Amino acid sequence: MEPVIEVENLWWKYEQSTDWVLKEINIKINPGEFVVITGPNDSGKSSLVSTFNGLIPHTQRGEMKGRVRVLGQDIVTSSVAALCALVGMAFQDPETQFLLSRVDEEVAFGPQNLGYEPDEVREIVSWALEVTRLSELKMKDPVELSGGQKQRTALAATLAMRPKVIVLDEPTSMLDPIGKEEIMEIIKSMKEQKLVETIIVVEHHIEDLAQMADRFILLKNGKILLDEPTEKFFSDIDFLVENGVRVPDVCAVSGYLKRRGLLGNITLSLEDAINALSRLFNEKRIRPGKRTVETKQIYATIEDEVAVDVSNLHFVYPDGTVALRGVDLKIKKGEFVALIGQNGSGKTTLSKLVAGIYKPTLGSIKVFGMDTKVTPTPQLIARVGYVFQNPDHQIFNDTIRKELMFGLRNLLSFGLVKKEEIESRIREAMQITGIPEHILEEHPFLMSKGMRQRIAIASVLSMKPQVLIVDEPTTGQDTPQSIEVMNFLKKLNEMGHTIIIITHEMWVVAGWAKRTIAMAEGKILLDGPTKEVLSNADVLKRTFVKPPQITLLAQALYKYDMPKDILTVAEFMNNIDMD
Amino acid sequence: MSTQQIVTRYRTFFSYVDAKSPANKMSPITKIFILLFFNAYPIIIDNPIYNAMFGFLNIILMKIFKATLMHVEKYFKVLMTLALFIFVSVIFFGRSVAGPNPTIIANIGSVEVYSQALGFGVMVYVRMFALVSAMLLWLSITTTSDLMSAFEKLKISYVARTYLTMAFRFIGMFDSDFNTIQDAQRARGLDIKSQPLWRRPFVFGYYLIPLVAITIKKAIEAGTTMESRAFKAPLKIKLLQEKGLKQSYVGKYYWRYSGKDTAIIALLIIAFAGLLIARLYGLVANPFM
Repeated sequence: MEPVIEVENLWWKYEQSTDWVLKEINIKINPGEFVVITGPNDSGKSSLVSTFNGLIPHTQRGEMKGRVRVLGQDIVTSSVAALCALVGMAFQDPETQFLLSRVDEEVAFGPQNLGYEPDEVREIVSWALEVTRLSELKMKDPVELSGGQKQRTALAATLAMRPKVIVLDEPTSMLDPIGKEEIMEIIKSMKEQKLVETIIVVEHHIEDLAQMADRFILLKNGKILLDEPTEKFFSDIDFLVENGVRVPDVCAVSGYLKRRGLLGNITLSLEDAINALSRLFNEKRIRPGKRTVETKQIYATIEDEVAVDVSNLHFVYPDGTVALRGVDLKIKKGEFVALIGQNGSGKTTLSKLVAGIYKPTLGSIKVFGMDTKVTPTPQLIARVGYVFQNPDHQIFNDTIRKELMFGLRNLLSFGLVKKEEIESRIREAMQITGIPEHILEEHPFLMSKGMRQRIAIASVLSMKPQVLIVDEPTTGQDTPQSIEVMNFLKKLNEMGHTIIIITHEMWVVAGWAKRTIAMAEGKILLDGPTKEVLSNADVLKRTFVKPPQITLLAQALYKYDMPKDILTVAEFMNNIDMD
Repeated sequence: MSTQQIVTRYRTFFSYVDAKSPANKMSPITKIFILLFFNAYPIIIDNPIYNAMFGFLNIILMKIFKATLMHVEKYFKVLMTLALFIFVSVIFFGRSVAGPNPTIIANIGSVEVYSQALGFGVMVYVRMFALVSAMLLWLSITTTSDLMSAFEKLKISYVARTYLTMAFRFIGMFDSDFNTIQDAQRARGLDIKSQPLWRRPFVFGYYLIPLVAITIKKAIEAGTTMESRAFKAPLKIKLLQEKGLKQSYVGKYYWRYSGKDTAIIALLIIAFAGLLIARLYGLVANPFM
């Protein structure tokens, strides 16, 4: 069988970089395969797949060694336009992929470029919209759609070019839980209905893909560390974890049981794990343990002082969108709170109101007793810091030092900080966020995204806010980076800061937040200790949030006396006794 | 329980337009003529009264065409700030535009204020108002399909019409990024509303730098997407399209033209000729200078 993609001893280096981004890559992908490429950030995943449709080397300057052939065509001698007809590609951020302002026109763009007649284009567009379940939205502007619908539009536009191979570069990383589920369903139907012959997905979140893919490739520092069929890939869990892969919870549990000789295979899906563990319980080879995991993590002492007091809060945007409908909430000093819910549920609006960026339409918010409606912004931000999801929305200075000083200078002009304090505050923020001294005079735009995010956090932190709100702290970060950011927030919490995070990542909520607030349609649906909230699957369904896989596994094994509120794999294993 | 009527709206470059709007019955070519005439009018006319009337006519037309005004209101607020800058400039630095025989109407310390300079300021400001309102009207009633199909009929090359349409489309995207950047800077204590008027233009830099950086990044990503969607497909296909031998999807399914369009275009051409004649005979000069 002739491979659809054949990579032979590939090396690639960008013009401006000194190191090779890809080193000695050898891959053969056969027709009909579903391959997942995973690995930490900067491991070369996107660079590798960019060679499949010729974007590298044709649109990027750099040095290439080795050979890549797509259906027998050498990418160096073929044009991007010719390769596009064979390999369709959809990217991470759906919003930057929209060229036109109607869904159907967007989908028609590719086939039209490939020279199809208008009637043929119409047929293809209609097919692509149908398989991505977008037919009813064809007249809409893609920018107005929900995250999942946007990414489905990008997929439809790629499918419409009728490629032999489709490459999806982190298609769910910017989506909310419902959006992720929509995309996973489309990927599943791509495979089941053979909408496209070969599927390649680049992804950090591999929980759902583990159940669908035929083969996984792990890339790190530009090299292939592992290239195996799915089941074999997950056979050495410790190796994967060491190399920055967040292994699906059911794989981690079954991997542990396999090592103890209790299971023959790693389970890849929740259903398989439930069946396998039920069998072990029935055979009495494992038993529910009496232990519950002790929380060794140190958090700040929650004080009686109320940091944030929200009362009957309503908010309507100038365009008439009702974002909040009577929210009541009290957050005490020293709490670590997660706000969850799908996009449009009101999480971000509520946080921006707490930070004083917006003013309430009705009701009130008090931050340490200060009414946000009447308190001037500088006084408020000295107490509440807000870190935006995308650091590029706030960075503008030409050195990191000036960027860190910016907020303090604003406070200085209102007499809220003394001039002699500025330098020490910058040092303190740098130390906490791990910004090294030697880069202070560098341009922030030249830093990596992870470092830009630290700079954004440090610039807010230098104002010493007692309440810190962080919007999607782990977006765009790989697993080790996400853990680092969250541990850093925990450290701040230990120092007495009240932390509020907005996130779609349930493993982040389960691992770090002590209290969770689930929102839907501008209201609070659930509010309580994280264990209680994440184990309430029925109410969570209304917020479109799925509890962590391990919680679902524990709940399915409830009849064997497994607790329903388990949040981590360690906790699960601590609740099992075995021979 | 109240029932809500669902109104279908189309996304235009800048706003939304009701599906039943008279603007949607117009041919895309007519909209191109509207763009040309409505932008030429304020430039040909010097009389601020005529330009002010024209500006208000544009706002009335937005109402008649059922365009959503919510997105455009803030641009009129920006115009108010602009008014301040124009009048401060003509009061303090008005000598160069006051002509050879200026009339002093007031003294502010050692600064002489000229009536002709103020008249010039009024003319410039009202012209800006008319131009902005004309552009907002056009952007509020025109969709990408309109522009693409009109350019196709006008035999503008596929590459040029795609780039031009995308350029207009990015105006709306600027708007949303600008709002997020404003919020992000407010979170670090920078609120333009709390700044004195004289400082506001400098503060804009704090918004513009991230805006430019994000726009460049988005433009690069859009370019990569275009490449991935075969925008540089064999030139032969594009040449066929440009010779009219091959119609585009948009050109075939969204093109419309009726007798009413001919009437509107004829009217606009006659009006344009009339304006030129009026200017030639000095009928549209600024009476305040």
